[in-house]
Amino acid sequence: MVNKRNTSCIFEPGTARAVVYRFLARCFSYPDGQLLSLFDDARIEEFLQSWHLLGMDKEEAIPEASRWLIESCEPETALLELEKEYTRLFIAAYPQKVVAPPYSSVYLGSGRQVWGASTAQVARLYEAAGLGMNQSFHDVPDHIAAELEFMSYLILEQQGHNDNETGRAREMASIEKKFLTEHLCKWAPLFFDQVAEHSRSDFYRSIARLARKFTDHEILLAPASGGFK
Amino acid sequence: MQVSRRDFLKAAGAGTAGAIVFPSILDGELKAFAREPVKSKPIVWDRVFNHACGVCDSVCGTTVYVKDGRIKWIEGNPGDSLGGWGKACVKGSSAMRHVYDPDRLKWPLKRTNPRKGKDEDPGWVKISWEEAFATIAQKFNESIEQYGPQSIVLLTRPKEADTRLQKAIGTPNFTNHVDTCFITPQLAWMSMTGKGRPWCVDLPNARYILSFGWDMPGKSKLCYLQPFFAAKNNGAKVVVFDPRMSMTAAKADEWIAIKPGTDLAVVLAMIDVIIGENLYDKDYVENYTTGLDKLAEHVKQYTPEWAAQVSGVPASDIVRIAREFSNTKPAVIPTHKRDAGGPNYANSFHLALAEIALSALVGSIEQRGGIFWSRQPKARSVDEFAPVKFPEMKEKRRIDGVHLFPLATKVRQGNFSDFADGLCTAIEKGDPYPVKVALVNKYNILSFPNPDHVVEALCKLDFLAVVDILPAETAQLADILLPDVHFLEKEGAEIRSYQALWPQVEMRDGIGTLWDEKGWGSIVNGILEAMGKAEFKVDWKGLEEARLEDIGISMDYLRSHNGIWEDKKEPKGNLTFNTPSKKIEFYSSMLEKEGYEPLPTWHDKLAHPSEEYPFYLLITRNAWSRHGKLGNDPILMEIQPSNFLHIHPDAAARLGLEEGGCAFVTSRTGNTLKMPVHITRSVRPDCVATEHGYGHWSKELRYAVGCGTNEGDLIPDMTIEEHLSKKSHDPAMSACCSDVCVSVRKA
Repeated sequence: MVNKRNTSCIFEPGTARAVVYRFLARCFSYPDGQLLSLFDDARIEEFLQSWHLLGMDKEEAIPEASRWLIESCEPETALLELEKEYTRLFIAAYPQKVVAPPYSSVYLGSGRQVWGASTAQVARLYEAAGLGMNQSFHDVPDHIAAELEFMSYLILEQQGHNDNETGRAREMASIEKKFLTEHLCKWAPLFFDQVAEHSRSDFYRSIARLARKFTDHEILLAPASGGFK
Repeated sequence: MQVSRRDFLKAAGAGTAGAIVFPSILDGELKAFAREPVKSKPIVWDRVFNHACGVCDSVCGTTVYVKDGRIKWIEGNPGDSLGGWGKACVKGSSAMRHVYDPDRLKWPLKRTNPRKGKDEDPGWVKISWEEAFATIAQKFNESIEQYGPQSIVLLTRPKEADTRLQKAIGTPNFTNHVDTCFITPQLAWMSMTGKGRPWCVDLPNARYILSFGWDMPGKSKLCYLQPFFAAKNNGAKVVVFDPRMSMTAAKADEWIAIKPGTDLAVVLAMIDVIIGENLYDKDYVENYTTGLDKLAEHVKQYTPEWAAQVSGVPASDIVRIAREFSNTKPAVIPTHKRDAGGPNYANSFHLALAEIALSALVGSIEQRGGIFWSRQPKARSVDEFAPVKFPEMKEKRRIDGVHLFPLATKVRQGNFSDFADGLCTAIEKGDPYPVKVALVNKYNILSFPNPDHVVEALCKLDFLAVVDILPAETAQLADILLPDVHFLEKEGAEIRSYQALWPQVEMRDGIGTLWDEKGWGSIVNGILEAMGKAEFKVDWKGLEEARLEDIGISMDYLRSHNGIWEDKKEPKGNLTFNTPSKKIEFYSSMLEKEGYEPLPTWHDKLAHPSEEYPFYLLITRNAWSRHGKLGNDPILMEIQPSNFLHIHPDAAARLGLEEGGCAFVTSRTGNTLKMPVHITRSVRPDCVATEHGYGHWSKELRYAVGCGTNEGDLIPDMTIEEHLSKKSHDPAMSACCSDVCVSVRKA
């Protein structure tokens, strides 16, 4: 699914939401070259325009995070710092525990476990949308990066059909509404707050705040717009 | 891989005939998802499968229920008539929480903080398996080139893949837990029968069960617990010698609170009574044993009166129990690992010899209601499956000194108790040669005597790779940390060894890996391949299939037969032995040949109460713990959040201790532990007892860290010299894991 589009195409609210979701999905994936490339001029511009288009306030978070990336050090050093912090926050932490396990069941279920009822809930929605977990993903279905990517997929799938009356678009819209209101919004804010509160890195702190703002915005719009369409 | 903006523009421009296309955040494929079913990992929503539990070596057959994609329930598989007998214990049914523990190791990790220690943040970053294997291989190969293969230490299990790796590398330093677990009885059985240690007891058919500290029912080891209660239901009499009222003692007809480490005196006196009063099984002794005359002469010095003085057990009781034991058939002495005949005391080896002699006198070896060697189906070995010529191991000396003990060398197994001393000497003084790198497979430092010494030693290494399920203590010191597969994720077949009274194979069906873990066999293959030693790799799955074929079954067969294959038939005594005389040798020609005392002989334990350290230390394990492995389970930890200092009311009153208060406990290691006090008549007044499995300090174990203390801190580790000083009577180099006294004061 390669989407090469002229920047002018961004000015469509759906695409703007997809851009933000995809941006966040990449930020909450294990840091690599692709993460750094999110912060090159063109993509940052694309992000800011999308953010603006969604009627969000001028947000300091992105410049802050990218400034840290650009100013702090050489790309390799920046990446290593991000890797260390990502591992500490989400994979294996010192001290005490993984700081913010990026799985919904840890926040929604009892007993701090992965693969809870909420995991099953999202995995069934993935199936309903025609997606399976990638063999190379090596993670549990309700990982935050998967869920954010899923949102971007659902939105773009609806866009592919200009005629909104088609069954496919309606189906995707209905899955999106269910997924967002009954699942993502229930735990993602808790998770983002956990990251914002405990991260030692400006990068993850500011991205988490940004993500929190965005999901709040999404929750606000969800019931009123009747499924964002 | 980073694509610079300029490159991207160039590439994009070339393909779109001049139209300016900007890179977008939406570029690229989905990462988490696959649209094509072939590329995706299917989720199995609802499923019931048969499995073999992997928490302990009881390997109970289980049935696992998956609902909504997750294991919801684990119960015993009624088809397993040797392990759980259709039940699952508290540990086994808890395993579903462990597999879904978000603190588990999920991907290979690399340390970024060069400083190591208990309070150092390793600064983990996730790396690929390729990088992990390449790093380990590079460190290993550099070490071999510079110092020889002996400079690599493997602290791994005495199993096939481990042996393969050891032989391929060619290092003598293959160290494991046997000296703290079972080498004592292993060598005792070898000495008297020419065979290894038997792991099966036909308890249901026994009429008289005599335990010297054996407490498997109290450890919820179902393969022993179930037949133990069957025996009780069948009317067996149970007599337990134990300074502490164990669970088994609580269920016994008679509990005798013997003085710690004096069981040997009682057994020697029982032998004296049984031979002296002509109570032994004449047929059995005549047909299947040799050396009775020498034994009879030798034990005359061990009268019940003498034993009474040593052990505190009245002579009349010793005589009575000796008569009961020989007159009630079948009678049996079950033993396992950390009991008095295990490696607990400096005289445990001779106790193990004496227990075998006593068993042979009443005809309890390879006879109904007695002790049996495992009946395993015939299947090919790894070397038959994948034959290869290993390099010659030039260096025979080991850093733990096992090469100085001819019998211990025979079983080719290593040592925990002097590992730290040996490693420090090798690293610091290059004696006997330099050691630089090590690989540890799922051994927790807390299982060692005096674990701080091990921490010190491991920190001195140039490089340490660790494999584990959870980021436990050893993992904290690793340079490369590799995630192992949890047994509930595994697929495969397990050939029973504990309680294999008849051959049995159990299937593991598994839920597949949740993250990117690899099994130990794959890890060994990965290291060998990266080291340029691919010829030593083994197709472990292929080997397993070939073995099932040898047995005449397959995974499909197991799947359609409730996950279990059994050749169920009551074992017929196999009374041929591998000694030179082909009989059980009361007078061991093997011990004599190697310069050891050939008959079970009285030796004292090392430590006795003194003014400085007035209490014996007894160590036990809870039914819901398995070493330190289950400490990160919040529900199991809730049962008992800390170990206690169990102390007799008289001693507590003398020291001013109160129930619920705390005490400081100190030993000659110099370490002092603070423990909550539990006052109880279940220990002798000259003993204190505590539970193992607590005192985790890995700050990555959310629930376990900071709960209780590790009694290992009170157990002195040993030097090779100390082992040599008891060499004459302990060819097994046993770790003496409870042979220590402590002081107690109010906190």
